[in-house]
Amino acid sequence: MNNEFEKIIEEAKKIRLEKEEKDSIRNFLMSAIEKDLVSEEAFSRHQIKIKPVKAWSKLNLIRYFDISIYRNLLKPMPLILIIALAVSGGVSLASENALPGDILFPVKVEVNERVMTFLSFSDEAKARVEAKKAERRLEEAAKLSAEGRLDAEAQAKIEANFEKFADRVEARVEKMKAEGKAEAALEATSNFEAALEAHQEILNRISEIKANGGASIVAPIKEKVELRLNEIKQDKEDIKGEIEIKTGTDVKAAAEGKMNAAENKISEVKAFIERAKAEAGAEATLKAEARLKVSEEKFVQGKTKLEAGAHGEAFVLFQESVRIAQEAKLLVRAEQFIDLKLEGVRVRLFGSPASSPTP
Amino acid sequence: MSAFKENDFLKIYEDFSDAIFRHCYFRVSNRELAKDLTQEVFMKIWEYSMNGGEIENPKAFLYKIANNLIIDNYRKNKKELSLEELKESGQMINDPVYRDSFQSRIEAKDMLKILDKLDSSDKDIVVMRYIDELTPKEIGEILDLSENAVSVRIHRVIKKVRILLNEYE
Repeated sequence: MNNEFEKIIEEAKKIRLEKEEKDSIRNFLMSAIEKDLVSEEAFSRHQIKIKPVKAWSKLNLIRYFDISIYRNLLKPMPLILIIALAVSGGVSLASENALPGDILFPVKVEVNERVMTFLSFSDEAKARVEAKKAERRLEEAAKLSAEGRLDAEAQAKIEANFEKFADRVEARVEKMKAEGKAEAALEATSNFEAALEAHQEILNRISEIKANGGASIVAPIKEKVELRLNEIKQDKEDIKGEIEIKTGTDVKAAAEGKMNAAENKISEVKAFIERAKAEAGAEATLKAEARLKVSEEKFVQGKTKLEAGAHGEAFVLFQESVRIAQEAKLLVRAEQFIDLKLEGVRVRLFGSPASSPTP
Repeated sequence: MSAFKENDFLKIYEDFSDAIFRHCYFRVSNRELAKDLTQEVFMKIWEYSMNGGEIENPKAFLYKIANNLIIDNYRKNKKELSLEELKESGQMINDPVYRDSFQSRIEAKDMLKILDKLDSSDKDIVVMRYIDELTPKEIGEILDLSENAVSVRIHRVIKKVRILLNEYE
């Protein structure tokens, strides 16, 4: 090739994105990703976006790209079912409700959840996702035992997976602590604690309701949750002690930020309980309202500390307020979410309505 | 398992965004459109992995998505804008690249001029081989052609470029 052409090529290669352009595209991508990540309905939202795509273009995608992972996982499925899933809005979405032993369960764990971690970048986000994964294992245990499908094998698998993700949460918390991110570490432990408390309550209720067989099968998982809760609480106490003695303008700003977060959380949960009242039933509502009251008390205490200039202590109290409000919400959610079917009759987790088959 | 690992996405963006933008720019001759296409390429790679897809070779994969998007774009706007029309619409005058320096202003335009005279499949080959510096094997993967067929096309297109350059001088 002659020199003239080489020179032209050299110049052409200088074409690039300006810094602002590059940043703006990056921000666009990050916000799309973050939005999915923080949203509890991450996957359904994403799939809704994909759903309206016409069937033919989905087939094009299959032609253009090698989706080998689907092929391997779906091998035993009849062709007609694969097509039905491909046209009806995505295997990933269909697999979201899969339980161990279901044909789509590997898609849920291997595909959807791996992507969840891949999409999160900060340690805080990763801890949140991993806590969510641990929680999902407990959800599976509850659902399976309610359906009478929790056998020893599924039980062992769920238990191992729960332990795996819970370990990862703790490792992330350790990392945050080591990096001096005590506030983030406290938030992560508090959120995990709230979730575990809610699940422990659910598992307790299942043991009570299902006297025959069910109780003994959830017992080992219950035990694991209890142990983990104790560890998490211990961790939390350590981190709290560390933050409480902190001073400086950073801590003040963090405490004020947390105060706003707590205020928002309390009003969010209040509205949530109000909305879900009818469905959740009187007993769960009462329990949730009592928790919310404790949360409000912590909030008031936090405010007093803040005014007294004890910013570290104020931060900790506001975080506690957030956690307890979240627990209140989860109590109600558990009622709504887990539609326990025992012998075909829906039973409430709390209280003993007429529909309950238990005496 | 060769799927994305954590943090890969951002790294891929940092490593390839300029190259993908350049590729799009020289194929569609429009900076704004090239920017949109670049953004879409990275959104697609994310969506793809969201759906559980595995990516063996991010570089080839990105160019492949870019290629598909550019083709889709051609189909959508059947009428391609020529360099002359772009100049008339003032798009290139306002293009920051053309304001950079007198030197690059002349020569990046030269590239567009050459590309504008080639038919679109030859243009694709020149962009991929010389601007993106892809190997014939990689180009073959993107265009679904054999390595051999790509080499032959590169050879032919170089001849055409030489003739164009002589005319140009």
